[in-house]
Amino acid sequence: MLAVFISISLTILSLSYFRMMRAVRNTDHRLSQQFVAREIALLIREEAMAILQRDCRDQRSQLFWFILGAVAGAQMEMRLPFAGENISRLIQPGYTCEFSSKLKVVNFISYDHRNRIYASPKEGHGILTMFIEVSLIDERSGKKVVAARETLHTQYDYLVASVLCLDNRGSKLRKPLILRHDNQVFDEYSSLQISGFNEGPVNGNGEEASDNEFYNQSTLWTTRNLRAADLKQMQIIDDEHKIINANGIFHCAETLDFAGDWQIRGKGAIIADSFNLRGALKKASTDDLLVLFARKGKIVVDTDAKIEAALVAINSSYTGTVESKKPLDLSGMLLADYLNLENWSNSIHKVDFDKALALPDKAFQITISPWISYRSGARN
Amino acid sequence: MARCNFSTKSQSGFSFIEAMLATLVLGLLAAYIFMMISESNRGTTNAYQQYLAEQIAREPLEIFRFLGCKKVLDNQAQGLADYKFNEWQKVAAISEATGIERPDDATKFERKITLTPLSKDGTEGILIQIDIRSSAEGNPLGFEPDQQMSHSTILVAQP
Repeated sequence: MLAVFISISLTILSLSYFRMMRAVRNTDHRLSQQFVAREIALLIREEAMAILQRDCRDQRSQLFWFILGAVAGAQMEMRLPFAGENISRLIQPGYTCEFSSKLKVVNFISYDHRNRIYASPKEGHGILTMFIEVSLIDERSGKKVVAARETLHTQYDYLVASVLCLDNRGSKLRKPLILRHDNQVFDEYSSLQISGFNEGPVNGNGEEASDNEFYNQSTLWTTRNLRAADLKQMQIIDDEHKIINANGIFHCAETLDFAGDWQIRGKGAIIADSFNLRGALKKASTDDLLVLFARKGKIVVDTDAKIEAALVAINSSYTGTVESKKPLDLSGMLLADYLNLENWSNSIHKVDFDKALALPDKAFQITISPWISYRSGARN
Repeated sequence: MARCNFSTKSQSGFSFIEAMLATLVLGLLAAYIFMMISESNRGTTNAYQQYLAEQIAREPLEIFRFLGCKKVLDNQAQGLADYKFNEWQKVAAISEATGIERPDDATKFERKITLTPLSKDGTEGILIQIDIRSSAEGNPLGFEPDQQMSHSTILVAQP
């Protein structure tokens, strides 16, 4: 009897110990699979973020048009080819992975903090949420068993703004020459020759008198109060490669000096105190667009090379002007408070209107809140 | 003449066999308990070593994720801080380059960081594999000389 009792006790103890050790091993295994699932979720989020940042600047992408017209609640599944191809490198043999990445618009408002409605209902601020779900499936026993599951929710602010200043008729930069304060008219005998525009008078002087504010809704600006060094650090002005990568509206509280020949990539407006242009500004493609807005001083063009940008020099004192010290070759438009051609070089100056400046639908830019990393610092 | 009085009446107590059986049972139980305590101690040490190895593996993964893919890609030839790539490296108690302090037991491990650049449809990334093994001098308990722990992650480059 005693022997039976002892045997049973030992058996129970042994089984308990065995079960405890198995539970410990299972916990270790599950934790390691959870780590793998977490890494996969982070990989998916990084790729989704990379695609979001890239496609928001690409009007040919599906994502751009999804966000541009989206209302609260709209959602789309993101396609992630990089993760799809490389996830197998992270998982052990006998396991498979199922994942999904959904992008959803949480809300979108098209008015600013003072309840002023933006000119276009497409302009405004919103919140996107990215919902990532990863399931690690254990198929070693022939059956599909979920070994680990991981979900990630990430929210991003976003801004939709046209880099062309808009009103209810579209782009405010729709004429080749607008003088806000001085109704001076330049005829065909003038040293300032205007071409590329066939839709009525080239001067928009009087027409704009009733609404003569430009780029006054600073809530649509991508960034404000940057220094010239910040623009360089953020690679908006890439000094090394001589590229202007403006995608959105950027405000710099200093004078910007562009020496040498520069290439324009993206659609953007740079607002600064004043500008000195001492070389060509050439668009990388016909889709690119650049507006230079001098808010305090003037724009001085000291080159006869082609400038493919809109030059805007206006301020609250109506003293904004553009001066060209060499024959001006401008492909874009010119907006100033006044022009005094006596201060310009004694030669023929050309303004060829860029029709892209009259197409507001093609000038929308979507800015997603930045991808923050330790290295990116405060601004990126 | 003296008379001997032998009583045949039974007395209470344990027989020799019962006493031996009880001793055997107690001995078995004691041995079992000692074995469990010993296993438990070994398990605790193993868990500590595994935990330490996990932390040593995850440390560069976390740092590289915060530095970003491009920074790692730019430095794959010369290494990043005191992390060398594609070679076994002893783990120091204090990193001179980063100031990271680790437990003394961490020096019993060696670490190898292997980088593999990846690309697909215009998206660039890098596969980072971290292998951990015990160093030749110190063989941490529960970590056999030929045993390795591996952790991997993939970082994606910012556009």
